Order: sequence, then C-alpha cells, then structure tokens
Amino acid sequence: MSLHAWLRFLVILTSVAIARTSLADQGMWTYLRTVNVLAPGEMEYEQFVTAKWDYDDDDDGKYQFDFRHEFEFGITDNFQMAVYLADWRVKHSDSDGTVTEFRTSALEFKYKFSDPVTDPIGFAGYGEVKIGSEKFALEGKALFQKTIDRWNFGYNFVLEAEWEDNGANGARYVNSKGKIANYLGVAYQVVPSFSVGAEILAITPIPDWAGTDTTRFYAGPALSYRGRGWYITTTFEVGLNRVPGVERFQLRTIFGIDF
Amino acid sequence: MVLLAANLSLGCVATSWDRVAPPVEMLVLGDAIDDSERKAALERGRMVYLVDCSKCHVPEPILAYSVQDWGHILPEMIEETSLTAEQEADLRRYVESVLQLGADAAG
Repeated sequence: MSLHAWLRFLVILTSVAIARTSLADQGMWTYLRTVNVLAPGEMEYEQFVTAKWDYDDDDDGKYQFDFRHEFEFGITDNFQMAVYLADWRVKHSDSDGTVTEFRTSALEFKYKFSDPVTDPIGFAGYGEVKIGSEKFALEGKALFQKTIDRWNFGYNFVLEAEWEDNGANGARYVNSKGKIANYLGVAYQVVPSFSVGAEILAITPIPDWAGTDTTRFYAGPALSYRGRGWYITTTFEVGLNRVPGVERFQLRTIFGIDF
Repeated sequence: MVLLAANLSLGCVATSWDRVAPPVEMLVLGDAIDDSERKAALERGRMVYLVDCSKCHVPEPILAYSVQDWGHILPEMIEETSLTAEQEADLRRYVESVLQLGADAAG
C-alpha cells in the first residue's frame, strides 16, 4: 500500500472515530490478551512499544525497539476486528549500526464465547494474519480469563506459523517455522483505575517444523493505569534462562486511546 | 426483605458477584405483584453492570458507594461507554434498586 493510500485510510478511520465515544478493552497486561471485546461500533487505538536488550552474544551494544500501531473495532457484541497498520523495529548493534525495518501489517479477529465475570470461565478465540515484504504469518490464540473479586487471572495458548524470505533468487515466504507460546497472568485491581500484576511467558520456537529450540522463559511485573478515555500498561519481563542470541530483558508499554 | 438485605451487607450470599451486584430476585422479592417487565429490565441492567463495566475495570460492590457517590459515578462512567439509551436506563434502574435495597436494610 502506498503512503498516499495509508494516509487516506487514516483519515477515514479518524473521521469514523471522532463521531463516537467508546468503552475500552481492559488492558491489565501487555503480552496476554484479555477475553473482552469492544462493543459494536466502538473503536480504540493502541500504541505498542517494546524494548529488548542484553543479548547473550558477543555484541554488547545490541538493542532493539519494536513498534506497533493498532486500531481495534467492535463489530458485534462478541466479535471485534483490529488492523495493525505497521509492525516495525529499530535494531542496533555495534557491528551493524542502527537499522530501521518495516516488518508486517496485520488483520486480527477475536470472538468471545464466554464472559470472565458471569460465566465459570471466560474464553475467546483469536486469529491474526500478518503480511510484509519478507514475512507472512498466521497466528491463533486460545484466550482464557477469570475474574474473581478484584483479581483477574489469564492464560493464552499461542500457535504461530510464519514464512520468511530466504534471500535466494528473490524467493518469498519459503522458510517455514513455527512458535508455541504459553502466557500466564494475574492482576489485582487496587482501585478501579489502577491494577498491579505479573506475566509469565514461555516461548518455544519450532524451526523448520522439525523439533523445537530451547524454550525461553520470562517473568515480570505489570502495571496498568486508566484515565478517562485512555490507559497505559507496562510490563517488564526478565529472562529466566539464557539463550544465545536472545534478549534477556523486555520492557513493553501499551498506550491506548478510546474513540 | 430486611433479612436478605442484611445478608447482602454481611456477604452471606451465593457468589462474590451476588455481593457486588445483588441478584434481581432479591430486589423484587417484596413486590406484591409479579412484574415480569420490571424483572427483565433489572436483569438486563445487572448484566450491563457485570459484563460491560468489567471491560474497563472489575465491577465494584454497588453498596460500597453512597447514593450521592453514584450520582457522580454513573454519569461519568456512562459517558465513557457507548451504551444504548435502553441499556443506560436499565443500568440506572438496577443500580437505583440496589441502593434502595441498601437503604431499606439500613433503615
């Protein structure tokens, strides 16, 4: 899509957005997805920023920032869609310098089957299609959540398949690999506008769909504050096991605005 | 009625959500006539309270706040939502009924 087309798309989205007020999805965590969906006609913008550093390799100066710009739309009482305009990143290493890369744009679908408050357990199915110049990916998630008094408990099972450019003869989407992830989260609502919690991540790469690489484990605290019409959530994740070439620390912040 | 209201304030009810948002049966138990329309509206209001409000925060116990507090809370929270006029009316009716239950218990 050209820059002009993107701008036109943004103008249309903004025009729709300013005509509405909205009720946001609950943002207690940054890696886990919650079960709730936006009400029909509602819209939310989410800005993701993820910093990654301390790679276990020879390059001490290595770090990376990932960015995501996401618009969510409520379609029906139980169904929402989202568009990631762009996933892009800034990578730095002492050997290669600083590189900025566009990765993918994406469509996301979430359907809520049961509610975390009124049903024994909240459950939603989630699908995502990502496409970029060098990458095509499909991701499915099973989202579980239960709210008990002021506590929220969440679990996500994630399965991702992706195809990347192998760089040979201009071939695209030929290198296939997968990923399985399990995310576990807990959050306590101190007051209605503020919650504290934690997230545990277990991520297992499946290169070439032939056996698995070492599972990377992360754990860390999550803080969320909600103002009127906006919220901010931050998670600091620490690697519990060292894997060569993989970052030890991740700091992810999501800033959401309701329209 | 008073005994049920007392139970609510002591937390001796079936589930924690019943303490947060009392079941409609408790609100209409004293009704002389069977008003199914009122019951249905209160049920809808309770679901709005438990399901829609929890998209942003865990639902708070209604009786933890005074009538005066709710006079500020409800308009502010409703402004944050896209509830329909009917949903808004159901929600107001439900919250007011619970507050009346609390007042009866205290009185």
